[in-house]
Amino acid sequence: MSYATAKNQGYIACPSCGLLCQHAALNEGATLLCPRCHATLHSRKPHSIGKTWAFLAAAALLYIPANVLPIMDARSLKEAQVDTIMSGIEYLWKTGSWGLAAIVFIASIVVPCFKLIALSLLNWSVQRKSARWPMLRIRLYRFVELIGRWSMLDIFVVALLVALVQLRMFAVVRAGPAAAAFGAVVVLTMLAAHSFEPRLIWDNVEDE
Amino acid sequence: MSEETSESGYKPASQKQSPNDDSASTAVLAQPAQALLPAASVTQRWQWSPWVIWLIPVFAAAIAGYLVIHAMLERGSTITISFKSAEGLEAGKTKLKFKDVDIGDVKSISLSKDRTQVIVKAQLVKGAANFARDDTVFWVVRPRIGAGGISGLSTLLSGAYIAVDVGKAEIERDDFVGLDAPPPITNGLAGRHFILHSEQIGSLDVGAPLYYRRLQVGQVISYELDRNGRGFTFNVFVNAPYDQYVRQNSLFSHASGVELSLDSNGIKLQTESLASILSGGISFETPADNSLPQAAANAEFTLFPSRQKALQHPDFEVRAGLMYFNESVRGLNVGAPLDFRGIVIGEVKAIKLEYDKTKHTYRFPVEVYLYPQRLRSYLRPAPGKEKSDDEDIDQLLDRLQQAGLRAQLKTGNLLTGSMFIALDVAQQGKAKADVKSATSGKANAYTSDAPMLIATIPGGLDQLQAAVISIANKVDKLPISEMGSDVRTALASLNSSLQSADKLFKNLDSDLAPQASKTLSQVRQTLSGVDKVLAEDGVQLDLKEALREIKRAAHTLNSLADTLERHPEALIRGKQEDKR
Repeated sequence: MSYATAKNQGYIACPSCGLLCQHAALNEGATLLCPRCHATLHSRKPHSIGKTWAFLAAAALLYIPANVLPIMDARSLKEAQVDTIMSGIEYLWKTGSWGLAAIVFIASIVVPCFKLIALSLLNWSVQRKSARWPMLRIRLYRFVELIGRWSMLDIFVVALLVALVQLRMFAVVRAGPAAAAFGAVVVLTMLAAHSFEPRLIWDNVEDE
Repeated sequence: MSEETSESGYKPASQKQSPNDDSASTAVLAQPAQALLPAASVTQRWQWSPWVIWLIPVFAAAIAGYLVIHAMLERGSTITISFKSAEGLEAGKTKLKFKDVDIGDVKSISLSKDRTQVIVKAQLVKGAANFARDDTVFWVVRPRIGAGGISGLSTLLSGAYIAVDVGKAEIERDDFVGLDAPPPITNGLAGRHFILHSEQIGSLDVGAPLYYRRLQVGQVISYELDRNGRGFTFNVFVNAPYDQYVRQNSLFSHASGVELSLDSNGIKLQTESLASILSGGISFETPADNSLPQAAANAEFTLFPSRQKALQHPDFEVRAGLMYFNESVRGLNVGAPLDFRGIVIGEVKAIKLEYDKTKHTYRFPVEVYLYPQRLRSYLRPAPGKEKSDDEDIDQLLDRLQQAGLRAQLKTGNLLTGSMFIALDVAQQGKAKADVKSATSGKANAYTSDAPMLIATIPGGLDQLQAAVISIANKVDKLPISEMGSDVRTALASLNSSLQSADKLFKNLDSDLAPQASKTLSQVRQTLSGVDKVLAEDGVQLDLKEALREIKRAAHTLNSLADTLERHPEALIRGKQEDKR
């Protein structure tokens, strides 16, 4: 079964103000603008597959130092502790803070991993024009979008600690190089999710 | 920039601008709405090539690569240190510190294969890679309380860490054996090492202080038992300004706490500083003449057991002596003096026990050291004689022996019962005989090279003992039991005699006494009668008169006799008148 879409009806909707307008003929190098709010109009996000791949690749690359390098360097009078994400979770787990360990583990390890894998799957399926399980895929995409805004939790924790725990000789917390990498991973996965064009899922379904 | 669409986007799109020639069916569906929709405006704008987006992953790869490689480079080399215990160490947390600067951290802690050691793998930071020299030492800093003081207090809060003292060797190494205790000195310290040899370790330990005039100037770095097991070799370090006082003739001695000596000279108590009482120590002093050059680094010295021994005249010439005592050597200790008429010329080296199978007797060979030099220092030529410096000391000893040198055990201190050996020259004949008796039977066992054999005579107490024993023996031989029975019979007869005497006395009492008293009363009567007679005045007076008469008559007779002697004729012719 097929639906009439704006695209195949010759319309285009403004993502900014929601105005539906007629598609105009385009020459090489021309762009459509919303007649009301002058936002750039695309019937489909241009090069969304390639862009998504690029962002995913960048995120995946930075994911390595984010996990390998220390994210936090906490020094107290008693000890100096340099923690990677994983060792921090391990420490929390060992010291009995299982709930906290689980939260940090989910926010820092599971979510970015999940996003990377999910987006890769989606992008891959779109690229090879798969028409299978469109509902499942679009739900997956929505879920990725939903959790994207929470994946900065780790960075927030580190940033808070760095800002708050500056007790000079007693305790100092510094952000490690992994913090920046991890932040970049989060941003890049969000960009990847943003650059992904979910309508392509349905386009393929319609084409079937 | 070509504006194809009009500015007024709101005008009804009646021009039916169809952007693409889509199928008619969809156009039909949308037809009513299409009239109301504005057309999107077309603008000509520079657009990035879709490939530009791939710069982002490239950039990310560069950053990630930089971060990882940087971290890898920062990491430096990995070294392995083995410790006896991993107390206080924690993988990933414990730091390696040099002069309190972090130069690495512990990555893992594991046991060695034979489970005797703890293997600590540590990662040095990049700049500290060249710290792993051949002579670099590692030790764990923990709170430590020793005689020398308290150290490592800061680790109470911060936890233990591994301290590093970087060596100077050119060779690099990556496996080390960690020290149990901090090294007493660090590599950069100025000063000199010296080697000391001692028979005893005393209470010395690594880090034990070294005193010069009771000022601590160094310490014991290490010690080890000599390979032959007969002594210890100490490595000591004297700090820089003080090492100049170590001369070639410096004397090192144990200053191990309290030295209480109880010998035949009495009780002697000697102490160094309070710290050395607790931990022991070494003191050294340099004889007053500073003419000798400073001792070179790693010069070797003898560590004397006490200051007194160190200060004693160094005895270079040592002759062994041997003497056999038959009596108990209780109270004679190794080191007891050998006294030649008040001059100590040697000491006891060993006391042994010998059993003579044939005679079933025991005797005690006492080995002694003789220091003939001491004898020489007292030796002066007899007045009138030339000074004989070159007299061989052996000859002197030989002459002494010829003269009948003999040894005797004597009690030096009655309180402690410690003994010493007194040497003396005995009367010729007797001593020679003693020597003979001492040497006989032993000639085979000891060659000419062997210790000088010194004859012995029983000690003073021994002699006394022998005399007492002989008296006791004589007493023992007396027929005391027979004498006892004799005495008993004698006593019995005496008893009967006494009884008869008693009877006699009784007879006398009953028979003789009344008669005697009667007689006595009669005698008293007679005497009183006489008394009465004599007491009468007349008789007495007459008697006196008569006596006077007699005296007068005697005078007359005397003159008559005189006259007759001169004039015998007067008897015939009568007395003539004097014619003159």
